[in-house]
Amino acid sequence: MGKETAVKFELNRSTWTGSADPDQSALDFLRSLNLSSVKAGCRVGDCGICTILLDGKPVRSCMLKVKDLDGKSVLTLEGLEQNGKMHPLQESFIETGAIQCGFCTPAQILTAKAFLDANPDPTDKEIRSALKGVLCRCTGYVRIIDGVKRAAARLRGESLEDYGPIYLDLPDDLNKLNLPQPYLRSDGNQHPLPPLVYTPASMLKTKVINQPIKKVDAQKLAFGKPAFTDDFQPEGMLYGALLTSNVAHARIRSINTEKAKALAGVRAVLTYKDVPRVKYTSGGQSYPQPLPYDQVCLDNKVRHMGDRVAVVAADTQEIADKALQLIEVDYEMLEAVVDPREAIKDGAPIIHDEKDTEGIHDASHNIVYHVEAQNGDPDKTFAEADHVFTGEFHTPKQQHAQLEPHICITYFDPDNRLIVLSSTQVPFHVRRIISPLIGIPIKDIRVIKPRIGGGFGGKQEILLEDICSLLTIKTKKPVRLEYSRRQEFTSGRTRHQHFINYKIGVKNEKVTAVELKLLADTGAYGTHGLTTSMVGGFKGLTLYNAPDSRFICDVAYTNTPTAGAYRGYGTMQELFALEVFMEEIAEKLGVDVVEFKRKNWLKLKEPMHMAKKLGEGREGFDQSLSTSGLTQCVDIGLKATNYYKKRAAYKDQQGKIRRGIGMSIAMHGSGIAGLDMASATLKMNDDGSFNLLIGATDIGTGSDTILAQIAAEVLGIPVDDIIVYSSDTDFTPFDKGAYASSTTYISGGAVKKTAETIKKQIQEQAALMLNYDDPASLELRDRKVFNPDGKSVTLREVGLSSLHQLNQHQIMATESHLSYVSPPPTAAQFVEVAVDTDTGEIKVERLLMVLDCGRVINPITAAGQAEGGMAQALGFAHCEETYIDKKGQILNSQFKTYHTYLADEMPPTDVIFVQTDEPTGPFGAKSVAEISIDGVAPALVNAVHNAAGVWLHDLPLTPEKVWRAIHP
Amino acid sequence: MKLTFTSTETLDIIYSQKNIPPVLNAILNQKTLQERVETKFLASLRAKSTFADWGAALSAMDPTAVLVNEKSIPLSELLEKKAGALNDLKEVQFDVNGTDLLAYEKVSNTPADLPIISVIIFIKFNENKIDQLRIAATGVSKSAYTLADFSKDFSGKTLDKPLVKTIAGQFKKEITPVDTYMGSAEYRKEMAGVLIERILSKKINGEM
Repeated sequence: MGKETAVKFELNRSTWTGSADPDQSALDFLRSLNLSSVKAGCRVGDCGICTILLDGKPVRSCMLKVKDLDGKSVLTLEGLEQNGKMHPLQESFIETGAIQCGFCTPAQILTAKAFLDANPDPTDKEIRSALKGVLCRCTGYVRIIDGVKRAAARLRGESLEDYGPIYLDLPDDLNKLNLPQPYLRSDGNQHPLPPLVYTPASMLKTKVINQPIKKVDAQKLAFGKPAFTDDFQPEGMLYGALLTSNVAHARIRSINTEKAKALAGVRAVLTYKDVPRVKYTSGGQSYPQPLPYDQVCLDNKVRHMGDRVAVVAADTQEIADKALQLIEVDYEMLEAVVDPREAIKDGAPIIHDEKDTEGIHDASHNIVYHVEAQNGDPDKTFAEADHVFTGEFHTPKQQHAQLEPHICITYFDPDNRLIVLSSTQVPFHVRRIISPLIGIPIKDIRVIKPRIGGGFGGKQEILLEDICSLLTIKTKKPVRLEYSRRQEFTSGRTRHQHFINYKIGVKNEKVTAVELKLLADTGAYGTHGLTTSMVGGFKGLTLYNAPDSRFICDVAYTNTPTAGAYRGYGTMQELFALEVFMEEIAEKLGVDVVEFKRKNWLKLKEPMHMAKKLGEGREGFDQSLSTSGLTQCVDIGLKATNYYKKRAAYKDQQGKIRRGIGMSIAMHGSGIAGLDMASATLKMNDDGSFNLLIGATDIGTGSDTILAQIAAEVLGIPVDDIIVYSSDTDFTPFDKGAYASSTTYISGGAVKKTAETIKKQIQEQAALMLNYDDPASLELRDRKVFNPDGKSVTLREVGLSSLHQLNQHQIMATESHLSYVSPPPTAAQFVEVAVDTDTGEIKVERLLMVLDCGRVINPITAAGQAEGGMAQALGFAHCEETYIDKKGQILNSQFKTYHTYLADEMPPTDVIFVQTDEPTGPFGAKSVAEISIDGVAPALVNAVHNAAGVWLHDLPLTPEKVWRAIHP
Repeated sequence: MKLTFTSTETLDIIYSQKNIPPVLNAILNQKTLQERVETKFLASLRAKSTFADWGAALSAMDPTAVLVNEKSIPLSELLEKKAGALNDLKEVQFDVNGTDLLAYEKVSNTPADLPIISVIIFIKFNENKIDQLRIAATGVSKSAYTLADFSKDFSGKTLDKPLVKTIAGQFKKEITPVDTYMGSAEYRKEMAGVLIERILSKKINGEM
């Protein structure tokens, strides 16, 4: 801390005077004033998340010093509300579903405010351009743009219709389908469109389900109120900092921490010498996690750039960071291997040469897992096939790039129990996994998950909680530990890089045999290597479900950042290869690709041949497809894109810029069959309201809201009557966490069961009150309980009666849910592009996903999932890759060099739902979060082929790759 | 048309000026609102990697730099540290002629990603013949951008198809592009030629 001087500025319309270090970061200074809306995303000016308004103009507070505020006017989101009235931007963001995780919301709203102040009637293009300085990883920007448009209209005094989806009937004969003109995009309009929801006549009507209910957490996020981990800092907190390796492979010969420990303000320095060597794996999965347990909290060897070396706690962040620089590490350098194809060869450097790791398949060849699974006799069927095709494909290491970095705060409560406040997707797994690492029994650990600023699978790992806890144990003080943005890239997790070989046998245009060989790169540690590969193998062999199938997989260690869970979880890699390859095969056979796929895709009631052989890290369960809207999804998509007409028109284009359209199909899962369990608790209050306590972790998806909708539908009440509390290992029942597309289906199943149990209890209480002897015939609706004669009592009266008057007891229940099936949502993805054949640049002109996720619980939040998924998938397909040199150095470890799609370059992104009624899902629901990421990459490649006539098998499609394919 | 950028005004102010050449507007439009608001003109000239296209465009146009001591020198000399000190810059003055060519093309992964290569061409014509020809490009050397002043080589010549090929070929010979994960040196060299031909062909064809 430098010398403080007097500072005076206007802060949220009041004068702030005081003394402060003029050279302190304005971001840190404003946060120190409890302005929790000011967020830290990267601290180097790349993400825009810390935007505030300075004299009415948007600036990044991380790029300013306190002295830059002096004499100026500062507005943060806390100052936007006036006279207790929400600003139109806040109101519109809530209505349109522009808020998912909410971490970027303050910056988006403030930037939009400054923009609308200067330009009250903007075009879409102008809005997109204005907002491009604030990254969002959740939404694909669709609803944000719509939110700004709506706010602008509101500010202009225009009257607005209610915001929501467009509901339409799904006819049996799709020739009679009513497809509104704007969804054809034939007039060139680029406006965000509300989702279309097609419903077959056979589906029962619902009241709360299927409605665009505003997110239950939206208001506090729209106001920037304390909601995230870093917003809850206890008194006397120390600041942690993590020293990570700057080399990819080395043994620590010696490590000297004396200078660091001697630095004033340093309270603890921990290295491998100071912590017990307990083997574990950081992947947050159900018990028992798959072997090997190849990690320890701090080791005497580093296996990738960004691997843990030491951790420090100090009075301030500056001191902690300075202490890291004083730690002297003497490395014995080891040869690094960064390519999994090299890593598995004889003589490659051995990454896990330690003696105490069990369960590595072949450590001497860096093969952590080897999987073989087969159904039928593929060799015989290949021999009998009319044609056998082979193709090789490659997918990159993609970053999660969630805006809130991994962060954790640990402290002891007055009962000396350890509190772990963490931005985690898996609070219960965190509690179980860190317990042996830190030597504290599970019963003495409480993990609390506040709101999460995006996860996408990256927070399904235990990355900071163990070492932060060890610092608290050492110092007896609260400690905060956060990854820097650079550490997110080097020490966090990535998507697995896959090298994929498909062999497909075709007889009479039927896919009769498929062999999928996969080499997956797990990086330095195994974590999710087995499970992602098995999931990828299962989906990659099941979409077309050839009876004779084989999966052969090696998962290799490399000296690169560890891969982990990432939305799509193996499936998106394999479906990319499969969906491109099926199109290639169709072309070689001279048949229509859609009809070729239609002839071969998994049909209703068809058993999935590999379901039992390829479970998730273990044997699975027999499954078949119980619902599918795939046919309707494809046919509606063909119509909405005018696919065949465009396809034909684009076939033989001349000129430098050529257009193309591509499609793909996708299936995913809904939870992990027979493994992951969720539970829920409902408790009735005196006023007829309910507390819904859930361990399910809303990571911005809106799961708290849809779970409340499920309960409300059963209980005949509005969502407003349900107070949702998630997730806290002391106060909410167990839930496996947010992963595997399980929350709607598994946690939703638990909530529905619980609500049904509560309903019975209410019926029994009301029957007593109404002196009626058939409780089961009582109906709950409109906050009342009716008997068949029309007599009723209110839920308030039931609550008061049960707690204070009659048959006194707490109306309360907890139920659990597990499913032995994982019903696949299905989808058709369409992508339209323009390819510059001179440069290889691709301009994506439209994304459309037509999606069957069962019953859509909330069309706006579900559309948000689909839109955001498509945006991430577009990055994976087009521009995102973690580049690593031969020595294991990461070349693009900031947002400036790791580009994600911005607001002004996202194409029109449309979502159409085709509802089906999944019998095992809550109110017919399946999952939505992950399938949305599966189809864009192959559809993009297929579109580029349509435009330029070249096949590309190596993602992402950089201009040079495309150019080289066009100009061999 | 005369135009002045003072060293202390922000890029946002410059961007909002209606009479700035469309190419400069387009380049500034690629920056975020926040960047434009925060960055003063002088700082943008210093931040060569962040504002590479901007610096390249200004180099190609080569306006007059007026220093605090009122001395005037070409901006390129100041940027290349041949004369004066950047800190002494007071303002730059442009004399934008409607017949001048100032054009910009780039190759990037996505529209808003950092350019793999970008090319800015400035031609001052004198009665339909080239008087001055400068080409600046980013991504073609280790420094933020490279400026080739071809005025001597092509002055007095008429811009036609063969000359376009010659100019593109000559520029490709002058550059030694970097080889990075974003693009190979070979690709960048090829693209330099493609972009130059694209710009100049548009000019010949009356498309700009």
